[in-house]
Amino acid sequence: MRTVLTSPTKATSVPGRPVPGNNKRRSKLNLGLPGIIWVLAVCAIPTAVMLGTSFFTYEGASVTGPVTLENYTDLFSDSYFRSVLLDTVWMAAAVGVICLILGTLVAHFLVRSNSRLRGLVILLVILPLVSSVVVRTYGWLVLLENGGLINSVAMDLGLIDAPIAFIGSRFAVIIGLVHVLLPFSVFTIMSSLQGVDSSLERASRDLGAGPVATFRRITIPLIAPGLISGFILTFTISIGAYATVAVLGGGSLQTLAVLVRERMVTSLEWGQAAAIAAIILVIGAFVVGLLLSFSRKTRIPGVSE
Amino acid sequence: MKNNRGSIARAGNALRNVLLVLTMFFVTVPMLVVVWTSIQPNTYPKFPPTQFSLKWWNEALTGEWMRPLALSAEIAGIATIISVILGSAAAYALARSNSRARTMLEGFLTSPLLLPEIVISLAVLQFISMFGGSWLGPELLIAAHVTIGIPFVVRTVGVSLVGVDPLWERAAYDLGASRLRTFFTITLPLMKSGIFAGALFAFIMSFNNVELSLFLTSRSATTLPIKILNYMEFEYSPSLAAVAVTGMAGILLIAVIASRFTRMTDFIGGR
Repeated sequence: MRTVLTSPTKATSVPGRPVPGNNKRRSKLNLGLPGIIWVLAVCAIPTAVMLGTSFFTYEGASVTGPVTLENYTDLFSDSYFRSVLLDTVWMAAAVGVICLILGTLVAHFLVRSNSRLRGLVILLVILPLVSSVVVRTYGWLVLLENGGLINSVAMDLGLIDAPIAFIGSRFAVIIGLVHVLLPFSVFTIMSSLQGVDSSLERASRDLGAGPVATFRRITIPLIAPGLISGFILTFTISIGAYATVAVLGGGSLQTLAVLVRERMVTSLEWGQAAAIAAIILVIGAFVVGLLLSFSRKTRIPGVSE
Repeated sequence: MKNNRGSIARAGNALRNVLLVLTMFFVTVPMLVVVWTSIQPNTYPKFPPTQFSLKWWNEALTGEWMRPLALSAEIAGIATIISVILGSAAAYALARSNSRARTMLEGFLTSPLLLPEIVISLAVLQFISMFGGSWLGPELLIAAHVTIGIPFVVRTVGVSLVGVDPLWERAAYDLGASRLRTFFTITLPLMKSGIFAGALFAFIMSFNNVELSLFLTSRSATTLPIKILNYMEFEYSPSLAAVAVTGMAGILLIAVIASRFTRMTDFIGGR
């Protein structure tokens, strides 16, 4: 799980006067070395190595040459893999879009309203962020299971005769992911909306545009960068999300992330697991690149400019 | 005409408020349901809520669950301490350097947040296995959790250092304080808020972590979220609800304590 955090901007310094740190710049940068080495050793290098070895043949854990596309061709010739790939992408896209709609709704309220309930809404939005993905998923399980709360209440009321099998459906997975990721889109859109002068919206209203037209023609274009980074964030996290999909997918509905674990732990095909991980990264990078080319102004949370 | 538009606006507002309330329900209900499930006697809670029982809590508060809970807290605690030390040092170095490398290094230090955690987890496992290691254990989990703790601390401490004028440090130094004393009396107190916020994020990320831990746990070192997940995938038992509530309560307690030292909202959203 990731959180949208503010990015530090440059510290102010008075030009022309020596400042501690300037004369000892090199020794200060050395302070950053342990952290950099740690990230290199436990994240960057292993990931780079895995991307490389996905083009070799795995024998158990070790890798032998020559360079081959076999891991990838094996995957793409498998129709089950292709359907999982499609499922992953379109469910992530659906999650991204739903998060945008609900996120805009909540963010607009938080930024533009002066209701006394704003504090409560912020608290409720933050709550899923601090509670474990396991807790949230468990809650959905209780609600959506065949014997769960929604089915039993609907049957008591006579709305349905037999329980609806939510678990294992795309619906359940999408709902679960939207619930996990809504805070991310709310905070991204909020920070973008805070930068929009509300007098622009008022001017539009004064000139005769209705609230819908104002929202569509003034607010949306102005917060487009925030919407795009919100979508990127929720889409990319959805593609890599494991716990929610594994539980609410009920074992029958898989995404790439769940398939990685199955290939790694159950069928012990390490090469394919590495290839799927690489595909997850490529899809994420592709979507980021595509959306960023739409809007140069967009900044992705997590990347400094 | 004007009247008409007014009533459309009112209807629009009402619709917006209804959607907002529904969204808030959507966000909150699953978590309330977990708490409710843990304090009633049936396998699935029955509506309306009339029965009360602590039997799932009795099942949950056994050694089987307390061990992973303690392990998770221990791993999160150690990972947080390491993240705070490495992350704060890096953030301080970045804030006090004007080099062009700075932007690049900050991007690099926060890059683990951009990679899907399950990919990092797999990469670390394969990397270690490649060198013949079968070195799964709490140490490896701590090492992995620190890589996502560092970005949070770099961010929050970086934010808190933005308002710190290097001249204050220089003033203390010129007035005769040693570099060490300057750091402890001037710099550290100014970084405090960022350090607490970063520590809280790092702790929560580690304590609740599933994806990053996924391939790195072993039978002897299973964290609480992974153990709950393994159970959930194969069977459903309400005692899991009690275990989950215990974990959630622990996090809330820590968040409340941390919020006495820092304003979390300074570090979320708005850039």
